[in-house]
Amino acid sequence: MTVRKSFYPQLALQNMMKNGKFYFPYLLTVICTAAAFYICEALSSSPWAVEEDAVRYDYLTMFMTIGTGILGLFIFIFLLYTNSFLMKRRVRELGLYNVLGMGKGHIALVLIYESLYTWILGAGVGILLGMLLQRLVILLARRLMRVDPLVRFSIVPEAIWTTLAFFGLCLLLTLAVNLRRVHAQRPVELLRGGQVGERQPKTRFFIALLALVTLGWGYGIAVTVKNPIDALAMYFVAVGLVMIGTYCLFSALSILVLKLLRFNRGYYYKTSHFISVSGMIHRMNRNAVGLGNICILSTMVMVMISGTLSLYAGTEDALHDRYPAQLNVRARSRLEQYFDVEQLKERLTERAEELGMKITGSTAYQVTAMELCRDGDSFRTRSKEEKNGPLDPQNAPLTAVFMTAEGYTSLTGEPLALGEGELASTVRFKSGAVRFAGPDGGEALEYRQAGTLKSDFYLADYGVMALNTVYFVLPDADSLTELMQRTATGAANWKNGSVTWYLGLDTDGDAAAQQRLEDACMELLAWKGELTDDSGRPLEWDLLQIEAREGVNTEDFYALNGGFSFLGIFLGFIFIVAMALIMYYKQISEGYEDRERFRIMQQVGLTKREIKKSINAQVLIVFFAPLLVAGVHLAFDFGLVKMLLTLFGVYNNALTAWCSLATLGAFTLVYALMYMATARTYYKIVSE
Amino acid sequence: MPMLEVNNLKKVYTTRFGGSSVQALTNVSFTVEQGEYVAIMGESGSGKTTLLNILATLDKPSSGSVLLNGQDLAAIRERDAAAFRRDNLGFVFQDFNLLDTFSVRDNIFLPLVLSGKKYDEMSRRLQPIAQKLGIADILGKFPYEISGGQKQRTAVARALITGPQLILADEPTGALDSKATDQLLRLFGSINGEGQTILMVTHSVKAASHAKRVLFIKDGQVFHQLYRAQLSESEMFGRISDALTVLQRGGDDRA
Repeated sequence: MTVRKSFYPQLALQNMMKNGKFYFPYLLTVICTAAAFYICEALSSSPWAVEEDAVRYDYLTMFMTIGTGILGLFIFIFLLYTNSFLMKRRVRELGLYNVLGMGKGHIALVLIYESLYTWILGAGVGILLGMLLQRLVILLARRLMRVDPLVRFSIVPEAIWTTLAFFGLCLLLTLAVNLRRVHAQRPVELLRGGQVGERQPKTRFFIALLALVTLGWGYGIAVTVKNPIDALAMYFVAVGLVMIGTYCLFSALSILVLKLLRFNRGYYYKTSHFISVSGMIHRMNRNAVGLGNICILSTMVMVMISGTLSLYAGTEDALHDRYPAQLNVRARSRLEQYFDVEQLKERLTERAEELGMKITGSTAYQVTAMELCRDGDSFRTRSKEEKNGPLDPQNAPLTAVFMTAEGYTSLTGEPLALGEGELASTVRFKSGAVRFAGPDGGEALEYRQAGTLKSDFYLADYGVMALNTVYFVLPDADSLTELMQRTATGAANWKNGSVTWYLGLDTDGDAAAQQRLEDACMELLAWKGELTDDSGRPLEWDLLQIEAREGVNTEDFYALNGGFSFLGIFLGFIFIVAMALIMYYKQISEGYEDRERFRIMQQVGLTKREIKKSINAQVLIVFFAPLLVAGVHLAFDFGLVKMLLTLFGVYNNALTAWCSLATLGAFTLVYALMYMATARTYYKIVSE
Repeated sequence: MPMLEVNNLKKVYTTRFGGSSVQALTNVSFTVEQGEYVAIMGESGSGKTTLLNILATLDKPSSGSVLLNGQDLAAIRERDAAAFRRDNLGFVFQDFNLLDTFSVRDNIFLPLVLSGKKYDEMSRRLQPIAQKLGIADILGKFPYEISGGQKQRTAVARALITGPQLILADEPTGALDSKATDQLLRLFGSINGEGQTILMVTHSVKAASHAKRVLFIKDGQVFHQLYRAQLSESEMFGRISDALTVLQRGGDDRA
């Protein structure tokens, strides 16, 4: 048989048009994902960034590089998934071509042309769309990162080539899968392809049990984790467990529960239960993986968006925690020197006045931290051998942070009166007294507990290890020095060295003026050595940190958090689009399945209204079950996320909770809208 | 009084925009007595299916009336039609129309569950029917696990379990092999022997030859009818074949 050369390309084109209901969404997927991939690639290579502030894009380009990896993996899996759905529908058509005398080679040729068209059209249009949206997306990214919305449009050739190559590869692989499928089947099977009867699902007790165990375990981790470091370490373990649990839940546990319902004759043999329970067993079997996918995608979208939203909303708080004042000085002099913070404050106030601004507020406190071993209400320093030897987990040291009452009041604004020999702590000690001893076990220094600090009191300097940290407030600086001299070896000649002074100053100056004050401070402390200790020698520093909140530090915070939030929102959006498509396909396939059942039930004597009601209920339950499960996932995830966020300096749990709730609400709305939009297709098919 | 009375039935299909119209039934009248076994024969497009749909209350006639035990089917409201079908009619289809989602037992129970019967009663009713139809062993299986003959017997059980006035069968042997066909036709004979009224639409001369009376439809009208009376099945087979030949020749020699 000789065929015109243009026959196969034309047939391929015809096929694509004829299967529009299935093919068009597939093409749309390719276009959307290609656009997203292009944008991701373009942003990760950042030649569009304006030269002067390129540094500020370092985080973004890093995040987008990670994003490209995640997106690439996702697109690959997703295209294979939608392709398999598409092919399942088309097996019959291809079988018909084979029966009508088209060789498998020719069918392959048609498929190759189809893939080629998909590549050219999908990736091509996708890249164009990406270029159009690039500007908008960059604007959003810049806004989140608080960078001036100055956009330079530029085409990124590398991104175009990478996108074309990546999609070429993906489509080539799906083509290979399809060719294998066509090759392996006999024509009769191909013809029958679409109508293989659906079997009743087997009850898989083991998998149902696995669902309970993995979900319980994953949730258990989320509930029991006590500190951020563990939360970080266990997060992906918990995520993995819950993912496994979700698939097992939909594929086995749900069926087990439904079968138990069916077993209960009194319940099962009632008109409404009869049809819906049997229908759902059927549906669960067929759609378990699809439902699991939707559930996990929903959870991912919500976790990503609520997490990054919380992070972004908490940026300002975190910034104020990290930099409590406009100008922050942390200084520790050499051990044998005495550093008078008032001297520094006076000099800086003078400089501020010279610069034409006023100091409007100041905070000063001294703090020292030690590693102590706790035994009931007694603490002791570790000996040299203990420090150098292996860590004994039974007797692990904790971080004890000491402040003075004056410093505490200056920091928090809360008055705290402590008499001689009294202290306050974040921990309530049973005996009402605390003893501190040196490594040699000499005479202990005893304090009576006069007050308990709020349990969530923390200093940002030690915030990350919050749970292994105990805060103590002592009456005055002398007590602090005495404590150190008693607990540390060879500390007898220490002045107030080894105590870190914090001085925070707020001014009425603008950002530029603040910058000048910072420079002045730098000059004063680091270069000129104008400040002296009590014996008149210039101060030398063991630690000197001068930080302004405005300027580079704020920029850096927003570049990091904004960039991260951008990635979360970007990927969240892509996943939502993907989910809409999965839903659409699900509705179509269920529509075709239900149409036949709808007809039979009508003949047997069920009214149209009853059928519609029962099917409606099933579809609703099956559709919203993933959302419900995702909501539960999110609730447990909250426990972990709020701890992870402390690593980024976000401690505001209420804010995180609100962000999660808002995300859940908005997502439910979007989900419901997607449902309504796709349900229309379903009803159209069913009532045809 | 006859059990089923079909009077001057006419059905015209018009396309949605009223352009062309097709006359599916021109003028059909016949009656079926209690306990009869009637086969309706005709070529494709002769109006058999339209007639069956009207009898099944799935469609309404353009004019004429159908009375089942004196009740006019046209007077049944749309939303009562399903309940009416459930209580008075039993259906057996060519392609069985069993639901994949139900076991054989639940497929048979379907109409009873719909009318709100208790499990014990359903089970009591099922017992003798399943015995008679030889499907007692496969009640727990699912439709995809059983043969075509078994599927059709399941469908017959579903039709019988409500104790309907009339069984409507649409090409019941159409998808069966010859052995299963023989089995099903013997079954219909014995059910009819117990007093069940059956109306069967068929192409198959063999199927029709088991009936007590055969109606021939052509171009939307009853063209001819044959009574079996004392004839054997093979004699009846011959008569029907002759009648069909005449019918196809377009004969004017109407009986």
